[in-house]
Amino acid sequence: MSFFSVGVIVILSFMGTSAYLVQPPPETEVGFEFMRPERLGPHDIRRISFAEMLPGAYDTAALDETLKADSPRLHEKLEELQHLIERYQNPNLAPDKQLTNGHAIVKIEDWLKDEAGLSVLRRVTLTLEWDGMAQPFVKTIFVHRDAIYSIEE
Amino acid sequence: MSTRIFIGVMLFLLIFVVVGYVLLTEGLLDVQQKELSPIGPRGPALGRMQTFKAGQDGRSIENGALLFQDYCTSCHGDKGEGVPGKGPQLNPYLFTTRFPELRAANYPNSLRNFVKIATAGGRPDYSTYWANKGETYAAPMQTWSQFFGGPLRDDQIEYVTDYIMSWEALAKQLPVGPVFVGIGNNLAAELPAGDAARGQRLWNKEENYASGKPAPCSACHSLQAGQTLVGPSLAGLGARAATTVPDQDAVAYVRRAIQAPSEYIVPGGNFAAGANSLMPGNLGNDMSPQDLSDLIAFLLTLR
Repeated sequence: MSFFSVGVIVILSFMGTSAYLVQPPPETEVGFEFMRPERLGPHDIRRISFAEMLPGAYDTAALDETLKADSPRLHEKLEELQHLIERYQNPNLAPDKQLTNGHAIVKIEDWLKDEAGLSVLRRVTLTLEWDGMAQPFVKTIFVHRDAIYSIEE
Repeated sequence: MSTRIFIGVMLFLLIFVVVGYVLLTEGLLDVQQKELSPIGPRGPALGRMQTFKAGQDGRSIENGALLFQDYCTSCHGDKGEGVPGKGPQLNPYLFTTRFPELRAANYPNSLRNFVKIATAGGRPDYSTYWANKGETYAAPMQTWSQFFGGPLRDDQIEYVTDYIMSWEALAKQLPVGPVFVGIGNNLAAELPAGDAARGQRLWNKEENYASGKPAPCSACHSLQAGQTLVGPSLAGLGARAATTVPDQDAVAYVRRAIQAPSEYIVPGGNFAAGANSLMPGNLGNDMSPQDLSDLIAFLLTLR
């Protein structure tokens, strides 16, 4: 009985490790890379400052060159996002691991302002679309002016 | 001996200088803390501790905003503006009217604790906010804290409270009271004359309801004959509306179909779950009597 219990614990523990590698769908992976719930990854949009997070709606498949001038780091982050999506456009991948013709629409909205009319909270909505999707993948985060993610470096 | 006394005094003074320097540069003085609020005026030079404190508060507001979006907006609106028939306005009513009333009635707690208690424990009775303006709500607010059987942890209750409290600074600049009260399920309300052209613009989402929200009808109803999306096609509705339900004329039939959709389920399709129509029963909450009348007028032109 004890061997059985230990065996069950070992198997379940193994299945919970990265070695077992249960991968989520690619859209979830991309969303996770761009907006992690904990500890920023290298591609997280919160790597750029609040001031650089200019409100607007941006399609990663058709980025406006004016954005490059207005907020080069946001432009860079959106390009990175498109590259993340393109990682899943490899024909050698299984069909359910592909984001064929995938692109993202990132919407940044001023959500709360202070008494001086300056933005203190912004809502960032990521919408991923690709060929053959049942429905777009949507993920939202809020970013506060004072949250200073740079101190996580 | 005098040398030792001199050194002792110097060290004593040095300790004061060091402690004073730390207090000033780390932002540990009360006066410095008061200058800093997550959405209030920011001091010209933030100390290290102030920066961390502001960062922590900012993260809490971020988390609270996300939780509010997931759990609260369906009844209280995106930014606490309230949803007619579902939940009362929080912003700015709570700050400018409700809490001052409680204070005047000797409510002993702070505003933050009032928000936290209401969020965690819900409300024991139906809200009567603006009852004199015809605002009623479907149900009392449920409990949200896990301690009271709700879904949120203690830290999540704190986050939501911080987010709601972050509205306070701007609350005095917002109008108080329900900005919009929809016709809801009131079938007795008198309807003005309908404008079919405006009704068509509403259907096409070229114009919004008086509440500012777009008409969601076309997401579920097609105007092409025989095409079922979620609900039945509305093609030819104008020709059959007067004869579909006995004792209901065309306007009454379409009106009841919108305001009380479970009263009559169109046969021949999967348009209901049990006795309840799949069509939401609260569509009237976003519509003024004029919106409803215009939409009906347009639908009756479909022949």
